Amino acid sequence: MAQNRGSSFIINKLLTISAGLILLVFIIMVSYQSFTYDIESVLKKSKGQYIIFSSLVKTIELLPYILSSALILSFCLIYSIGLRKGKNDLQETDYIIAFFIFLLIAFLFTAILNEAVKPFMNLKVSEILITTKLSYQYLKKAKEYELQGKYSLAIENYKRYLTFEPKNIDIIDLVAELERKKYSEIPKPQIKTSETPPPTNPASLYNLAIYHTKMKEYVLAIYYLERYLLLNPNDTNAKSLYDKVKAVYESEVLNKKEDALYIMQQKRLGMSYIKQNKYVEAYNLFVALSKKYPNDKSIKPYLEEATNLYRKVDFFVSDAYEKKDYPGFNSTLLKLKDAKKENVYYLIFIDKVVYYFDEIYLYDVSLYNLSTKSFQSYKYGKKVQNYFVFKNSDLEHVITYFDIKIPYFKNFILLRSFNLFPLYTVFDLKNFIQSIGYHPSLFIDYLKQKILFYISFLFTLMISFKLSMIGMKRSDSHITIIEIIFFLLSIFLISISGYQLLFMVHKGLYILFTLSISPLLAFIIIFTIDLIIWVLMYFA
Amino acid sequence: MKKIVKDAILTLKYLLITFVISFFLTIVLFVALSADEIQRFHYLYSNFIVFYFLILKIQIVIYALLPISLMLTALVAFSYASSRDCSSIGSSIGLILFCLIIFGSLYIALFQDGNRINTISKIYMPKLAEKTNFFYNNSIVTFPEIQFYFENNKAYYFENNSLIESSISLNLKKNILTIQKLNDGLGKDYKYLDEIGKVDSLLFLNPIIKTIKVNFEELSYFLSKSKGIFFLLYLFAFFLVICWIPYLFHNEKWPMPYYMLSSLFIFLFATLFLATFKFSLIYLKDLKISKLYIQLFPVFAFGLIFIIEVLLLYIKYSRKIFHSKIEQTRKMQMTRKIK
Repeated sequence: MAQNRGSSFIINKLLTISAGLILLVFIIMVSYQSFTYDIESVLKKSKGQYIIFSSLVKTIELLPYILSSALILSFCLIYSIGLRKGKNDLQETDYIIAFFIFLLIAFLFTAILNEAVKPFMNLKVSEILITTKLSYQYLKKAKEYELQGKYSLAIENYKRYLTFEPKNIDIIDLVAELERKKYSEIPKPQIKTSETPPPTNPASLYNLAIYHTKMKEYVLAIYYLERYLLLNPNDTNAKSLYDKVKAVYESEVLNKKEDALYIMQQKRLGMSYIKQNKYVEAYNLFVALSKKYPNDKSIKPYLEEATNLYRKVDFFVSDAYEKKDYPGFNSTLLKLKDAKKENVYYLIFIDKVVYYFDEIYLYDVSLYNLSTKSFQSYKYGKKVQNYFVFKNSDLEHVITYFDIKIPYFKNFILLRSFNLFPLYTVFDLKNFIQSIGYHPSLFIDYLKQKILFYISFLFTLMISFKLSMIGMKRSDSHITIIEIIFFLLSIFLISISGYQLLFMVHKGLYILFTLSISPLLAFIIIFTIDLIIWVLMYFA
Repeated sequence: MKKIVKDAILTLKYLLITFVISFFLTIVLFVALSADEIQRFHYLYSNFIVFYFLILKIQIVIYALLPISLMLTALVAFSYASSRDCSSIGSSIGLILFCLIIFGSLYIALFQDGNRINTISKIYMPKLAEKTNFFYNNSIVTFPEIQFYFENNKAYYFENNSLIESSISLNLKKNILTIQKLNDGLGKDYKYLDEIGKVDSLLFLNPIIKTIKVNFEELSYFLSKSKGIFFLLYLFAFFLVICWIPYLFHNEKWPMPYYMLSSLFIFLFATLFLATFKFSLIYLKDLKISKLYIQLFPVFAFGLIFIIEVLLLYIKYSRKIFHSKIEQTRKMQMTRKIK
C-alpha cells in the first residue's frame, strides 16, 4: 500500500512537471511566433488562430525532448528535495511503477497529439497561409486598379478582399471614398429645357416621314405620312410610300409574334436541358438566344441560371485566368490512370496548381498519353466534381476521368509531403501514392518514420529514466542546488542529442535488416532488440 | 599482497569485458550509421555481406573505432574499479596486463609488418553485380526542384511544355544518378538513394566536430603512411593518461557526478591529443631535430601529462596508497561506532 501511495505521489508530481513543461514550451513558442509573425504572411483576422496552431504543432514536435527532460527533472528533484528535507522514504519500486504508468500515459498522449491533432493543425495552418496570400492578391490588384483610375474594378477587388477581412475599417473607408469618386465621374444626363412644337407644314412632315422610314421607325413614319396625306390627299408618291411602310410594318408585327413564340420554345427547351442535367447544352442555347435577341431582357435570368449551373460541370477561361497569379503548388509531375478506359495512363505535367476554396485550378497542363504516345497541352484545367476539364478557350471542353481520390489530392496540394498525412489515411495512402505515379517506397517511408519515431521515443524515455536513477543513486545528501542544476543541464543535453542519435541508429538498423528481410519483420526484430536492451538496462 | 592480486585480476576482468562490449557497440553504431553506404554496396557487389564493410573500412575501424572503444573502456572499467574499492597499485597491474594483451596482440596481428593492414583490406575482392537494379522504374521521383518519371531505364521530364526523354547513368559507389540531357547536355547529378541524415541537436558542436574531423583525417593519413608502431605508441600514451581520470575524480565533491566529469575530461584529452599531433606536424617540422622525435612529440607531451597525473594521484592517495579513501572512511566510522 505504501508503495502504491509512493508511486501515485511520484506520478502526480511527474505529470504536473510534464504539464508545466509543455505549457512553458507552448508559451515560449507562442511568444516566439508572435514576435516573428509576419503581417504579409498571415491575415490580421487569422493571426490568433495561426499563432496558436503553429505553436501547438511545434510543441508537439518537441514532445520527446519535453517528456524525457520532465522525467529526469521530476525524478531528480523529488529525490534531491526529499534528501535535503530528510524525507527519503520512497522506494526504488515506487519510481519503477510510476515510470511505467508514465510511459503508458506519455505514449498515448503523444500518439493522440501526433496522429489526431497535428495533421489537422498543419492543414489549418497551410489553409490560413493560402487564404492570406489570396486576400493580398486581391488587395494588390485593387491598388493597381486604383492607381490606374479604374475605380469600379478597384472597388470590386477591395470588396473581395473584405470578404476575407470584413472588419478592416481602412479598406471600408477607402471603398466608400472610391465609390464617391466613381459617382462623380459619371456624366450627368442633359435635361431638355423646352420641347419643340410638332411641325405643321406639309414639306417638313413628309421629310420626317422619310427620315423615320429610313431609321426603320415605321410607327412614326406612318403617323407623319397620315398627317401629310390629310393636308395633301392627292400626292400619289406619298400614298404609295404609305402603303409600302404599312405593309412592312404589318409583316414586322407578325414576325415579332413569331419571334416571341420562338423565344418561348427555346426557353422551354433550355429548361428541359436543365431538368435533364445537360447544363452545357442549356448554357450554349441561352448564349445563342441572347446573342440573337440582345434587347430581350426576359432571356437574361435564364442565361444567368444556366451560367451558374454550367460552372458546376465546367468552368470559364476567364475564371481560371483570374486566379492564375494566386499562390499555388508549382511544377508537379503526375502519372494518372484513365478511370474510364482500361490500361490508359497519362504522364501529366502541371505548371501550377491553385487551391481556391475547395476549387482546384490547373495551369499549363501537358498530357502525355503513355499508351498512344500522343501529346496534348492545355492552358487551363479544373477539377470539377469527380473529373477534370481541360481547355485552351471557352469553346473547348475536354473531360478526363482520372483514377484518384480527390480528398487526398487536396491534402497532397495543401500538405506537400506525404509524411504530414494523418494516420487514418494509412489504409488508402499506398494506393493513392501509386495512383499518382509516385514510388511506393514513399508509403513505406511514411510508415517507417511513424513506427521508428515511437520506438525511439520509448527508448529515449527508458534511457532518461535510467539516467535519472543513476543520478539519484550517485548523489548524496550534501548535494547543493547548483550541483543539481549542473547535473540536470548535462543530462538534458545528453538526452536531447540522444533522441536524434537513437532515431538515426534505428533508421540505420531498419535499412540493414530490410536488405535481407521484409519491413514488417525488420520492425519486429528492432523492437525485440530494444526490449532486450530495456530489460538488460534494468538488471545492469 | 593478496588484495593487490585480487584487484589486478578484477580490473583486468572489467577492462577486458568492457573492451569487448564497447568495441562491439562502437562497431554496431558505426555500421548502423553507415547503413546507407552498406545498402549501396549491397546492390553494387554481388558477393557483399555486412562483415566485408568492416574490411573495406579497416582504416576507420583501427584508427577511429578502436581508440573510441578504448576510451569507453578506460572510462567504464576504471569507474567500476575505483567505485569497487580497487587499490591503485592493483589497478595499475591490471592495466599493464590489459595493455600487454591488447597492444601486444594488435602489434602481432596488424603492425608487425607495415603492409599488414593493406593486405587485410585486400582480402575482400568485390565482384561487381552483373545487373544493378534500378528501383524507380515506372514511377515518379522527386528531386530538389525537379521531378522525373522513369520507365525502361530512361528519365522523362517536361521542359518548356514539351516532354524530354533522357538516358540515365547510375554510379552506386558515389550514390549518383545522372540525367544526361540536363545542363545543356552535360548531364546533371542527383542523389540516387536516400542518405541517413544528421543529428540536428548536436549542431551547436559543429565547429568542434569539424576541427576534430580535420585533425583526425590528418592523423589517420599520417598513420596509414608511416609505420604502424607510432599508432600503437600514441594509443598507449593516450590510454595510459585517460584511464586514471575516473580515479582522480572519484570521491571528490565536484559539481557534476564523477563519471560525467571523467567523460568530459576524456573528451577534452582526446581533442588535446589531436591538437598536439597537429602542432608537431605543422610547427615542429622545420626544427633541426630528428624526424623521429618530432613524430614522438605527442607521446612525450602525454608522458608529461601522465607524470603530472601520477603526482596528483600520489597526493590524493598519499599516505594510504594501498587503501582507498572509502575503506579509510569506513574504518573510521566503524571505530567511531565501537567507541
